[in-house]
Amino acid sequence: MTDKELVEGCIREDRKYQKILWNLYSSKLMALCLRYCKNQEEAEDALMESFVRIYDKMPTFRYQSTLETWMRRIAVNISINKLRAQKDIWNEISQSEYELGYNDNGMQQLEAKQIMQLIEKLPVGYRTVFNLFAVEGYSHKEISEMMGIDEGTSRSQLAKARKSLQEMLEKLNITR
Amino acid sequence: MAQDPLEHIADILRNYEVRPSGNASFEEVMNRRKKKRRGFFWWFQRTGVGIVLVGIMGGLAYFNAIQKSQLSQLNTNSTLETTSKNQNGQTQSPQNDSKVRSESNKTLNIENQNALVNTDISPKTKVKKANESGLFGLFQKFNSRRKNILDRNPYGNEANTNHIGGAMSINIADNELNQLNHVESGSDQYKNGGSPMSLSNVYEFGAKQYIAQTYFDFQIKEDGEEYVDWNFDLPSVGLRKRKLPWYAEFSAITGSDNQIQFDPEENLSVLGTNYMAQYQMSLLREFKGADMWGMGLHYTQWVGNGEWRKRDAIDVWQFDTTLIAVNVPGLPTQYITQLDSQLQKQYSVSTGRIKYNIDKISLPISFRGFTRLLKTNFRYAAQFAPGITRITQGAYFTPTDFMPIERTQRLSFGAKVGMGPIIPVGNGVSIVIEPSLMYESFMHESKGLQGNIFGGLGISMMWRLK
Repeated sequence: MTDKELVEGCIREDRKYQKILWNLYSSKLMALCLRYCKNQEEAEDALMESFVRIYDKMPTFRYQSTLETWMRRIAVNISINKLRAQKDIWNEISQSEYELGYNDNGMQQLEAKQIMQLIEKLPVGYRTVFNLFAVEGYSHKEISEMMGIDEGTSRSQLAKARKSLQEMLEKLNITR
Repeated sequence: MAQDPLEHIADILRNYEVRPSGNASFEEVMNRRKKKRRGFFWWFQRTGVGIVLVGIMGGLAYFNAIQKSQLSQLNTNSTLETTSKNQNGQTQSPQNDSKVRSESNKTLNIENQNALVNTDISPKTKVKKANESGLFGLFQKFNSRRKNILDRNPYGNEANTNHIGGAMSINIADNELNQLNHVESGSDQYKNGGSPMSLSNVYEFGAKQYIAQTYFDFQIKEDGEEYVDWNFDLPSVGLRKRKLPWYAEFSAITGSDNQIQFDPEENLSVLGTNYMAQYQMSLLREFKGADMWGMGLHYTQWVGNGEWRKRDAIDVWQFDTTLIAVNVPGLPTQYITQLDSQLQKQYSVSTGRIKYNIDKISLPISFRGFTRLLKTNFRYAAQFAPGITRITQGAYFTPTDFMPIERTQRLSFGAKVGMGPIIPVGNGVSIVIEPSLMYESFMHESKGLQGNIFGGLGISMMWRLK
């Protein structure tokens, strides 16, 4: 079944197509929500809210990206909205810190589940920027607009996230 | 070639899947959608009920206001009664004062302060009961409390006040101040536990809180060390410079210019109406002082319909013949015919229909400014728009002339000034309803610059871009 058929089915409010869409993408979006939300319960809430929004907004899908990308953006926005309610997730570091750069090579030796576990251990601010920048491919400018923070803060959070990951890897003795 | 580590992680995480637990299911999503839709209708119903309630409250308030006006006569009588008692030699001792104050703290009767000057309790109670009835009394209490806080003696010394009502109000103000955490309640200077403050303290705190949240991303506590010692000498975090925003503007405007009568002094004159409609799209940028400058594109349709009248004068000789009878006695009467003539002007009038149609495309250079008058935000606009005519048909007319338009593409000029209220309708979107004065012109191949001044009304939508 093509994306077009799925989209058209959902626009017609055909329950069969809506169910197929859920079956195809709920696991991927659940993994995405888990990376942003603080626990399983909140992630499931974000997932369901995302699907409500996806079904409602399906007529506005213009095929300018793939259906999955569009759905991921919706899920990211909803997860981010939940994060916005939390305060004090951003800890500033100085400009010089994020210019140092860190070695992520140890990550290549890890399995997905291990990476997920490591990322879950990161503070919310680091984790969010890391996910948005490294996984979803948003630029620092876009992140700053989404989160209502400075670009510098976004960069510093990413640098801190990398540093923390590096330290965790060192503890696991898997860095080169 | 080794893959970028970040890209490697991103790939893994993008394709990572976690099956949601039984709590999150397709059925649950569908239920949420249903509830959401129901919620909309429920909101609608709630709004309806709210409107009805507000109506009822408004009616009650109105009813109470009428009742209050009927009771004002009773209040006046009470005042007279208490004044006469006072004149009979009753003086108010400090004990009595405190008694009255304690009584008034219970009742919060502060409506007619002047009526209660140096009086005893009995007439006051009568007045109090009249005033306390219904919503009007409630509003009065609220307003008096607010007024008392605003007018409060900064030293909190109610002993200087002879008015019982005034003492009560200060007590109330003190009570309210004690509830606020901004004051140093342990101060020796202010024995009642209050200290000088005004609303500006509250605003100042609010301003600090706003700056702290907006620019430094933390909250100031309302009391304690953090507030007392807090100042702006924070680490080197620069204030963000506000980006001057860009705006898109879409507008439609229409106007007319009437030539309402033929000119009797002219051989050729025209009676007609000129219309114009203009559709414009502009990109504007805000500059310091909130003024905007920008450029755009507009299309103008400019048409005219009229009737011309030509009066041709013809000189015509008018001949008058006079028969003169000459009567000489004794002779028969003789007649003499005297010929006379004069030149007279006669007019031949010819009329006809006339119309023209001009389409123009122009590049307006626009200015927009903003002001506030009578509690309403207004926008004033000015623009100059050079351009070219694209289609021309028919014969253009002025009040005393008409001229065929032979060449299609001619230089054109337009200008507009207008001012109207600006109404925000959404996030970054505003509508302006703008009465305007416009000038439209074009360069005629033989008669030079021709144009009309139009009065019109337009509507513009301004949309703030990121």
